[in-house]
Amino acid sequence: LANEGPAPPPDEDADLMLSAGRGDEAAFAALVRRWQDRVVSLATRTLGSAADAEDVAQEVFLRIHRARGSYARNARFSTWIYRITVNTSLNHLRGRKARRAVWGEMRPATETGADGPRGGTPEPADEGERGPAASVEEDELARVIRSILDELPERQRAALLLNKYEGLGYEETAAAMDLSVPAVKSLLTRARVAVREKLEPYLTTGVRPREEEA
Amino acid sequence: VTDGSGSDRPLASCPDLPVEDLVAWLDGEAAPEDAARIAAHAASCPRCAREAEFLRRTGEFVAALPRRRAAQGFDERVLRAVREPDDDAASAPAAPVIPLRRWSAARRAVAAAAVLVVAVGGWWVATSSSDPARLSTREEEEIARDLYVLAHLDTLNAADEEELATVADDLDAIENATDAEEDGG
Repeated sequence: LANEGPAPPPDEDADLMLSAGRGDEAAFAALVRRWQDRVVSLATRTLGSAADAEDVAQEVFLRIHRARGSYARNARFSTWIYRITVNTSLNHLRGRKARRAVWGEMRPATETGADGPRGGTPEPADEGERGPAASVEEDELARVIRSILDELPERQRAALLLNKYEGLGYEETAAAMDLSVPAVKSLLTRARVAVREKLEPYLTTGVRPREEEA
Repeated sequence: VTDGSGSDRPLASCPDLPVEDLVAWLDGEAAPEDAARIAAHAASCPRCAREAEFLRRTGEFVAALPRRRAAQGFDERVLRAVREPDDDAASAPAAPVIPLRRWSAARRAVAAAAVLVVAVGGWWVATSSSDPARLSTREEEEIARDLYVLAHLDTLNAADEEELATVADDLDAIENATDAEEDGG
């Protein structure tokens, strides 16, 4: 289990955060550069929208900066920043839904068009993000999986992304989502089964999942 | 939930192994005392073996989703934004400090409506702005105001002249604050 075995490795990010809390802006800048890609990436997957991901990522770092004076080494820095990223992303999604509910009729067509289940600007193809060996089939599959993830309930999606996309164990996923380990285990099982169910026909027959046919 | 084979058989309905245990085992998160039992079962049960393979591959596919990179200059934008929090606060609309509880229902409603206009205007500006920080920091307030207005707009019809005159002064103050913000960029 994750809590057994040798002592955890030194948390260099926590050291930087503590330095930032003492007013070392260079330490905070280093944290931003160390984490910006991971935060943008996770926000993109959680939002299902590349368009808003950097806005959310910037908000994540602003929140961390505001909290720098009260940061304590109670948990790994990674757990903390993942938690802020997930919470900020989910808050953004909820705000977008609420705004659309109130103002959807007044938005331009480009804002209310067929833009995916969660209503953001569709994520563009991941050009330049794959190695040269990436095949057309792999890119197609990635698009299908993104579409399936978009349809998951938000907490299932967040848990699955933290566990599989970011590689967090159950315990750290639970800490990042402020849930118990059994609750995360349940979320992950439901998410995996739901994704697997939709993915299986595509993988075995080449037929794309329903939402990809339009 | 079906097994995806075209039948209506329940997914992973094996009575000897809950799918939750199978997933935990695949993820290396099964308790040590359970892992050997689950492994032995998965090796001997065709349905669970098939299910395990699909669930394993599902996890691998999610893990292999492409990574995105922050845009060029993202770090500089963040660092610029954290250096200017006081400027942002100074230019924010006056709405957050309005003592709503002391106001009449009509005054609250009209003020909220005015703030809503400001907020939506800000939203339009922010969505086309190169400064994403402003959009992010305003969104929660905007949503709260949107919902507040929906709950109170009907009281406008019941407002008397004195209340509306007071509201007009409030609107002027809010508009002035908004103008100052827009002038400030």
